Amino acid sequence: MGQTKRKEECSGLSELDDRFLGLFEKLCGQAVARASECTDKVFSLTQEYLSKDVSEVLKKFYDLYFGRELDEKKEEMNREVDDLFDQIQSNLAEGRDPGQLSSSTQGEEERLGLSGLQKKIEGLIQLDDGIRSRVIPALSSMQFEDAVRQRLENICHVWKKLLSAPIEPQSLAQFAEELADSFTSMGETEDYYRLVLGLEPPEKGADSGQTILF
Amino acid sequence: MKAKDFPEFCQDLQLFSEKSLKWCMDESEQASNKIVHAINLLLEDTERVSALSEESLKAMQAFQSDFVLKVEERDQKQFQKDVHELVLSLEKLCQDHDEVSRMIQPILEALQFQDRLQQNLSNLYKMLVHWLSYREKLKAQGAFDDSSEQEFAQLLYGATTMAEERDLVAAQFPKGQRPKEGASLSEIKLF
Repeated sequence: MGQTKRKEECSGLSELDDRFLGLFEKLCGQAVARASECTDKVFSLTQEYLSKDVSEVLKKFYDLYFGRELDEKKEEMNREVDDLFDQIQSNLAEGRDPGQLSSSTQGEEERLGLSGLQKKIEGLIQLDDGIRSRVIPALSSMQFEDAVRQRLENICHVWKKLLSAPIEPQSLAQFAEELADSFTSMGETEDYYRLVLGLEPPEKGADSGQTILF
Repeated sequence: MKAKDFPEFCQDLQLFSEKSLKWCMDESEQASNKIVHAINLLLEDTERVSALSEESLKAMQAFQSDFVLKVEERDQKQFQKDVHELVLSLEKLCQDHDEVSRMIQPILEALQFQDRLQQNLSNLYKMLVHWLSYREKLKAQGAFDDSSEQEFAQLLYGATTMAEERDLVAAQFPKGQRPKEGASLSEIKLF
């Protein structure tokens, strides 16, 4: 560590910091595990009130959302959601129960990425209030889990980075500005700019990935 | 940004962490609301509702009304306590009515996880504050020896409300004296 690094590292602080942040990270992991277990429970509740087809598509969306499936599965998933979307629209147009779905159909629909998939799910739940009320708790819980995970990971990240930060004020200011790139949500970025940098946040920058949509 | 010294930067980062953890707690609160409102799914399911005795159905409806009342009237800082009380109410409802228990078990379990999560988030912030404060003290002391480990671990234990948190503290700071188990709700304090 050079002259610009914290001189305080020569004391027992380094050991305290390392051990505390190790604990903090594990505790954050424990909190995320609670959020994840909650999502699992909400899914198991939701599945009892959805048709098997809708329930399976929802579960696959969940796996894909959290990267629990391989990339090559995405095409299959996109196709199934497209099919599901079309069938529900068709059922509604013809006065049938929107939850009653036939086996998957073949088609050449446009293949979408995860964000497109999310839009499709959003569209799906807007079609019928019955499905909406049943699907929303699961989607909402899933987004909540993801958002909490990101927030806690980012808190751990900034504190860990801080321990290797320069102590000289000008260098520290530059370091603090570089840290601003760590955030993925608009809300976090805004908070960081206002509270840490003392600046107005940029108009463009992080997306609003942590907005709970459902 | 204007140049700041290291302690000032730590303070600002602490504020940022607090805001982020509060955001998580607010979202957890919303998630808990949505979970409890999932009871509507049960009450709208005529097949399941018709299988319930009149007594069980009344108990469920009473629980639902009670919750809505609490949501509308509650003080935000009381929410963590409210969720904990709701969990206890649901547990009692399940004990008193077996047929209800089978239906609402996933809701109860989901709420139990939210309850623990809210405690986790609140305790994370308290520990962060203890760490930053203890760092200042240690600067004067110098070494992080057995005595300081015990002292610091004591502060961390005081910020826990669950055995699973104390397990992690014990693993990371083994020289600390772990308190006896049996933390009560009265220990839960929001930041």
